[in-house]
Amino acid sequence: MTEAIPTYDADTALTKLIKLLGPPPLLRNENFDDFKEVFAELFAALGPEDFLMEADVFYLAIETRRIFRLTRYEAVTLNKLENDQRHAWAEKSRSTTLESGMKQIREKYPHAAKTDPHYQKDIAKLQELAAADYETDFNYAATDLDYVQAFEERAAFLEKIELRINRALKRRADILRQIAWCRLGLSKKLRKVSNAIIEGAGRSLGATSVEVTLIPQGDPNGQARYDVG
Amino acid sequence: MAKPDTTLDNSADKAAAWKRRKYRVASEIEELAGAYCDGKQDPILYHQAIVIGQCDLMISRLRAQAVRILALFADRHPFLGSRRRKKFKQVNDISVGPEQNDLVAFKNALPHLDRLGRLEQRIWLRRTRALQVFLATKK
Repeated sequence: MTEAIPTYDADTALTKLIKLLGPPPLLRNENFDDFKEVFAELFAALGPEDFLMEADVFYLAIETRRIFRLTRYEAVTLNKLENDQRHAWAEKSRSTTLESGMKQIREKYPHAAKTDPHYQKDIAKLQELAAADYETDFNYAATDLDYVQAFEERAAFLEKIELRINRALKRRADILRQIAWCRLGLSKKLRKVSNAIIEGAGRSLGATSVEVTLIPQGDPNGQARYDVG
Repeated sequence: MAKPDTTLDNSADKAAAWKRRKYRVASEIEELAGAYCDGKQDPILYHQAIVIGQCDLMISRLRAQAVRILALFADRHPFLGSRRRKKFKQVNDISVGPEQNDLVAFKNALPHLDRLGRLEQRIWLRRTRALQVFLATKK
């Protein structure tokens, strides 16, 4: 079971970022809560320390959502084409069944009228058979080969989507690099501060220091003298 | 008593005012720059923060525009064809669920989105450069 991510900080940061940078670019079929969740996850993972990093995390969430969207478009394109092809195939199979069946019925009842009850019964049976054929052909599980065919047909459009995905990925890598720069700058700054503290506070004491007496002062006889009271 | 000549002063004031107006920065950008600088008063840092803020604002506007274009195309081209075909598509098309899919709109809006994308890319690069200088100064 995964632990719930504390979203209070992420929510506060997101509200501030939306106020300053505007709302994230979401389409009508995209939910703001999903974006919020992505932002919260990234926020928890990267742990931004200042506004600059928070803005970078915001952009990172936007690019991540964009990649999700484009990948979804790719899947929808392939599924849609495969679905269309399957429908066309099932329709063809149905018409073939109907055609051959009608031919047989015509041979069976060469002089029967269309209102003949036997003829009508056979026609109804044939239509049921054709519908069953259509359903069987339409409901078969798609194989990789079907998707390869769909991929070939939609290659040009998919290439355009791929280009956009690559661009978004590059921008994502840029943002992560920027966060690393921020971290590096911050660590250098912190190191400077800590060095100054260490150098300022730590100093070696001489053996003849008057501030700290290593040996308690004694009388001329060599007896140690302790002030009591 | 001679009247003091204020023409020059006035024109100088006007020029300064014009310059101030010309280089005036939107309050949103100033607010962003302030947040980036985090209370630091370094003018170089502030200038870079202003550039980053400008880029942020423009990127935000461009992205909003892209969403608007997609929404426009989704409204304009819902489904082509007869009512029967439309019904058939809605029943069999897996891309259309309870939420409307914007794939068709995306396809139709591609040239417009490309133009916006190029512009966004340029602004993004400018932001990255400004950010590099900003971070170098901050160190």
